[in-house]
Amino acid sequence: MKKILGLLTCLLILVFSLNGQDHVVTGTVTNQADGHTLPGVQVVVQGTTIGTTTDMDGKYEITVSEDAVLEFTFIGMTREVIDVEGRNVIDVELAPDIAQLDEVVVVGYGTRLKYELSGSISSVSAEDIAGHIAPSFETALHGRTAGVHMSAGSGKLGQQIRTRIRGSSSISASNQPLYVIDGVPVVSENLGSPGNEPTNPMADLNTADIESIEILKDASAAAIYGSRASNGVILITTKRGEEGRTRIDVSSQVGFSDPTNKVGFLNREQYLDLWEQAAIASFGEDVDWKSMLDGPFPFWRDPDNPDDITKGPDTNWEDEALRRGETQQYDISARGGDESTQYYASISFLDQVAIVNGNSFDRVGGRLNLDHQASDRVSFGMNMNLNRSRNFRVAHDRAFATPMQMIALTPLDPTHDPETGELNDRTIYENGLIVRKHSHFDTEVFRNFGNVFANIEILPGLNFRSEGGVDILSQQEVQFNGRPTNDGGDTGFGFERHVNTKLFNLENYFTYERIFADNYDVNFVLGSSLQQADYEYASMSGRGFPSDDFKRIISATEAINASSSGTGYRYTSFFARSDMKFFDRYLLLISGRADGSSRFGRDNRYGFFPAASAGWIATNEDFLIDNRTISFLKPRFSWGLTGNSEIYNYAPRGLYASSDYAGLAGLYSTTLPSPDLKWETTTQTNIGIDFGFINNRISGEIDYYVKKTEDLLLSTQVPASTGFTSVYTNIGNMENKGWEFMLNTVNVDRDFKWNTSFNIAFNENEVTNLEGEVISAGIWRVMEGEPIGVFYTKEYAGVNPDNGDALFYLNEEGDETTNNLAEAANRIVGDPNPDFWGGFTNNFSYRNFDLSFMFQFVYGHDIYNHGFEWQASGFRWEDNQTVYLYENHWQKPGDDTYYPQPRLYEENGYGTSSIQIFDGSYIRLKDVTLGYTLPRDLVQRANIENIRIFARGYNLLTFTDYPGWDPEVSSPNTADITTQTSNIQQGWDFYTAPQPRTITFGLNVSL
Amino acid sequence: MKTRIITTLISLFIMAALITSCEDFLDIEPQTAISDDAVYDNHEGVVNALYGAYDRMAGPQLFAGTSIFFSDLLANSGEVGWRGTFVQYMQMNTKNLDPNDGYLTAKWVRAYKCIDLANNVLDNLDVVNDDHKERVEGEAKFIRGILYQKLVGFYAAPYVEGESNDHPGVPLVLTPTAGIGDDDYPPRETVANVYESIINDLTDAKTLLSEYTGAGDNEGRATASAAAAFLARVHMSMGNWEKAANEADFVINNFGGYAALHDTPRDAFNNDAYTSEDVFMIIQSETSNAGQANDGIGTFFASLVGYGRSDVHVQDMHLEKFEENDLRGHITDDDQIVRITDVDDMNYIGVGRRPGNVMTSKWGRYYANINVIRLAEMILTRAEANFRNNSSIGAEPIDDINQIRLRAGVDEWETIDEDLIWEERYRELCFEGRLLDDIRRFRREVIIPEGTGAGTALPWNSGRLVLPIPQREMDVNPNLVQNEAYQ
Repeated sequence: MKKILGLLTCLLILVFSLNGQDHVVTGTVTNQADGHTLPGVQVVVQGTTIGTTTDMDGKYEITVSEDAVLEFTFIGMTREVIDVEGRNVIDVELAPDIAQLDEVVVVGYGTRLKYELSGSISSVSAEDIAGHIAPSFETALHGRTAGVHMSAGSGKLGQQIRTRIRGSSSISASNQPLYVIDGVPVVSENLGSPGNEPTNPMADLNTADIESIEILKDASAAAIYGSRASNGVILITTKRGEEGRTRIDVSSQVGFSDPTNKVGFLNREQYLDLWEQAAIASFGEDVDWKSMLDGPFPFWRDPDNPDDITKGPDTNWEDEALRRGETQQYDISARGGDESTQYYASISFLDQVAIVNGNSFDRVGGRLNLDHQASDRVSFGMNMNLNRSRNFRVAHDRAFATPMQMIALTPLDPTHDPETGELNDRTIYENGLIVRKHSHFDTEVFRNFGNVFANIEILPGLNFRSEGGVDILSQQEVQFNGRPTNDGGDTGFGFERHVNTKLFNLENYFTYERIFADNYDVNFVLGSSLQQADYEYASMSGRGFPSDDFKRIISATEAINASSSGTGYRYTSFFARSDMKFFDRYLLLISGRADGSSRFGRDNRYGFFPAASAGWIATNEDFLIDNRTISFLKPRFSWGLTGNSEIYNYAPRGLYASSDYAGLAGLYSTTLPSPDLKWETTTQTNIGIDFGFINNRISGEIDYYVKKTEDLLLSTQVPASTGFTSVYTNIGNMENKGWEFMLNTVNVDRDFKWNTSFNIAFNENEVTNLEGEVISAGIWRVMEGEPIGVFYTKEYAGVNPDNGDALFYLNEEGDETTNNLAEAANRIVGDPNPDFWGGFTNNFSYRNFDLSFMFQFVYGHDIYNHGFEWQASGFRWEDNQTVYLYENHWQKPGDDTYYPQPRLYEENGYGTSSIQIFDGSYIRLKDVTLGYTLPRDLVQRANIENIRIFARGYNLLTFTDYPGWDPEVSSPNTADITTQTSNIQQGWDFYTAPQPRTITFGLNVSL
Repeated sequence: MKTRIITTLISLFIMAALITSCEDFLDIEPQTAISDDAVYDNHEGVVNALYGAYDRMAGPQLFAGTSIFFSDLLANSGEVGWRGTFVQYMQMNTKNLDPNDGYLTAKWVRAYKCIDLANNVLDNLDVVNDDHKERVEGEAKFIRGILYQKLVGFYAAPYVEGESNDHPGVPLVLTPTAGIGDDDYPPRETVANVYESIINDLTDAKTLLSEYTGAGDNEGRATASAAAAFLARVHMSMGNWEKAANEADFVINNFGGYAALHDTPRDAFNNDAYTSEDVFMIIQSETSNAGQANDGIGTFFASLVGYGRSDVHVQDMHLEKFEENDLRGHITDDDQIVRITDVDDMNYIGVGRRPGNVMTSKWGRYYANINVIRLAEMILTRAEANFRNNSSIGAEPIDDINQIRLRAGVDEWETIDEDLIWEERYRELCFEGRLLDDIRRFRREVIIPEGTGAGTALPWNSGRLVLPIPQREMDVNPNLVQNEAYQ
């Protein structure tokens, strides 16, 4: 009926039009951006079917009535509507459509047009992260995506990266997102040996192979990953071949790095001055402070002038710990193919020398992604990625042997023994240079990400897809500490460990896509998934090597701590999704996933996770379609349940582990049974709006979300008098709510182009219910009504100006103070969770030059500089002290300083308190790139498509008041980042190396 | 054709779905642990749990470390200097304890872990083979008894002879934990009741283990003499002098009298096996030890090539307590020293980390056994108990004391008094974890050696010489009261 009506209308219009249809209009259509003519532009008389297209030169000719209205449309350009008003020549410029409506976004089990989404997904393209110099891609996302907070562990390479998408949603289970590469959920947790900081298995993926990264943030986007989606999902899609000639891209980058910051420690003169002050403060004016130095510092005097204290060693140990790093990266890729077969192939090499003395990372790898269309109905393909990465590591931040702890050594400790010329082995703590020379800790990983897939079109629109994926990782750690090192004892110490992880993933699903009656677009997905992951470990140590030349355990007289073990988990799932669009305006998505997990007992192992979302593309409504100011407007709403099961593999069981007492094998209990344990679930509601103004020159997204997590998988504290300290239960609620803003603008779009992108996210985390439970981990606490992991310790009240004593607040409330740290009450003195964070990017280009810079900021998180308990301890010990303390300590009555009076070997309020807690807010110029593309006609003579040279700087500037090395810290705990301790202990700086400031020069060539 | 494809595909999908829904697929067993229900239903499992209790007891949190170390730091008046960077130990030295201290928390947690294992063993004796039953029961009671003695000794105000002793001790848990219920939040039992339980356990253990008196094959495990030695300590704390003298005498007689002492005091330490002087030791080996670089008692006390953090330095105040000829006060000063075997004396000048300080040679090796009770202690205990009791059970007090003095190379005494016994005990047993108990029994003072309040004298019963109940335990269990000094 409708069709008939439409036809009638058309006819009617035709009749009217015929009346005055004698007016000829001609003109040329050009691209506003570059002035080139545009062939193939549709020119239609509005309200009619009369029309034409522009020719090869962008010209058109059409016969219309004098009062007709012409509509010019072209894919990728904004629509222009022009009244003829009797003119005969109408030249038209079309502006590029800035918020590309044809932008495709990867969602779980399929792709969608971005403008059709009703959930919240952040998307990052290959261009955004191209050439990112770091072992793994994650840090490139920080500052580019609203609501995603990433922090690198430290300036050491290949360390695990703390990722929080819309805050922390769990206390005891992991808060890290699920990583999915080409449809396979991969191993992303730490596999490094337990005695060192967690390593990052994502460093095995080459950034240059990534086509796009989608971050599924709200429940409707993530719920298709059900029980593992509460922390968000990061979908990584690798590059694929394209039909056409073979295109070869070569890129190379070389550069160097330096620490973003040096803290500054005392030189000889300052050290002696502060020592004298501290000794007098402790032992009185008559103290022989010089001879007190003779014990700890055998070489502090100049042998020729033992009484001239201005002479003698003056070592800057910070310069020994931190050095200039180097970096080089080469990527070569080829993509192309014919109508039926397309390929993408690449090889890559990355070599980085860290700013931390002794640490380096390299990776070499290759990828082949193949697609083949076997027939009209059947296609298949495979992705294969083989990489080897090596991390030459140093000891963890809390070990004396770590290079950063060299800064505890004083300027009075020479690096070399002046008597023997060898490295000084009589430093107050172990000389890290001896460790560097005589020990190594090499981790080598072979990784194979791969999958095969086939797609069969059963009926038009109905497809069946089967994907089988593997993620196989083989890691070998070889550690050796030679005789001169502490850890080597006097016999040498070797340690080796092997880890194999084998993950298999099978996905089978139907998709059905069809447009009914022109206006009803439907997309259904129905499928099942199965995953099995097995982890195998073997390790052994040895002591008693004949000499340091022998480093493998076969040469050890005592092979000790031989161990092998294994663990694993399995998932089975069913999922379904219905995604519909009506009249190109109304969006409705409903999805559900049922997951079964081996981690839970038989009665609780299945969970169901539904989600729904709706959106309204208001600008496709009649009343807005021609609005020239508002070019895009889409309010959307979503709701859904997601789960979190990322806990210890056998958490519900009461287990006994084996023990060894002098050869007597035994058993001891490790966990209390908790047979009713089940998933924790997060209900997330999201309200958002996507907008575009003035031809989408201003566009963006605003989201408000509330994430409520209930039945927290909580490691609940129980009285230790039971023999246990905790039991897993489903207790408690946590809430995250926040705003995310994303704004993109095209400021100038002529020969000179200038785009800006700004994003900011506010998140408020609160533990709303713990049934009275309080969880402590060091000075961190989880308490009802507070954000996760607040700092709970004594509050420093400053210095007593009369006598230099440190003062602390005595009671939980009130202003009464005490100079006895032990008497002071604990208070909540800080919060390591940021209030807001985001990024600000500007891209400029003018002719062949391009320039971009990105600022990234985090505001309102506090950092506990635990290392300051030694580095700024007022000579409780002989450790070297910060210049900050030297310049800010009490010296005489009336002084109002940050630090109390240093007193040699005494604790004048320098113990753990808020004196070590600082605001960690910062703004960082994270990425600056200046590029020049060689003139095309010049390079094309050499048969080269494109040559671009560039210079790039990372972390060039950091603005912060934080007095430690770097405000970008995450826990240096040796615990994996997915554990409760690590969830709670955020913002922990303990001799944590700063981030590198890197400058590179590079070349991109396309053939 | 088309139908066939569709049929195949749908059956494939159904197959996949079947695999997926297969219940067994999700049943995977842990490879490095077993479920609790498989432990206590058989003889082997119960015995394994007993061995597990020994293993937990041998950790650095208990007898292989801080059970010894805490006592010497808490009771230190400046005989040693703490120069290490571990804040917790520094606070212990300055008697400024923090209930959040991880080390004193770890001790509490570990002790109750062992106690729960012992309780489980005692609760499941019915599946133990008859010929092992007595020994298993005896060992489990021994472990439970000595751990409660450690707990009540560190975390509760001292037992005072002749008083009611109804002040708070520690939670007394004598049944195994099954799940967490209301009963699992116990209050602190009175000191008197905790002591009663300890005496019951150790007395039972002594009887049940009567076949196992020497060391030999039973190295590192409970014996009747080990139980008697701990009973002697307990009775000394309670002022039961006669009982203490009897228990000490029992131990000495089972070791064949004085001949079991080594020729020199130095020989009693850093041994790999029980020697004739050892009543109870914690065995250390390459695979089972208290730690190397951050834990384990040796690492704090040693300054040798490649071993020791040189955290505890012997001060003049200590050395002044020795007579000139006393072997126990001699110092080896030789920069050629590499290992502890190169040190002939009871002290040496450190050669490793922070060199140049006087170090004790009692603790100087990674894997040496940890002396817990030596025969010399029992001889001194018998002397003291007899002296206080005006008796001569086994020997005259003066003869016992002189035996120890002779071995140390100093002149015999003609008469003794309480002060002389105190001094002799200090000289013989320093750094072996006896000081805190002795300070309490001899009603001595502890002088805060450094830090805030340095020089302040704390009486023997000062609350600052008692550890706080760990904060985590206070937070979790509302029925507990904190010790007075930390309220």
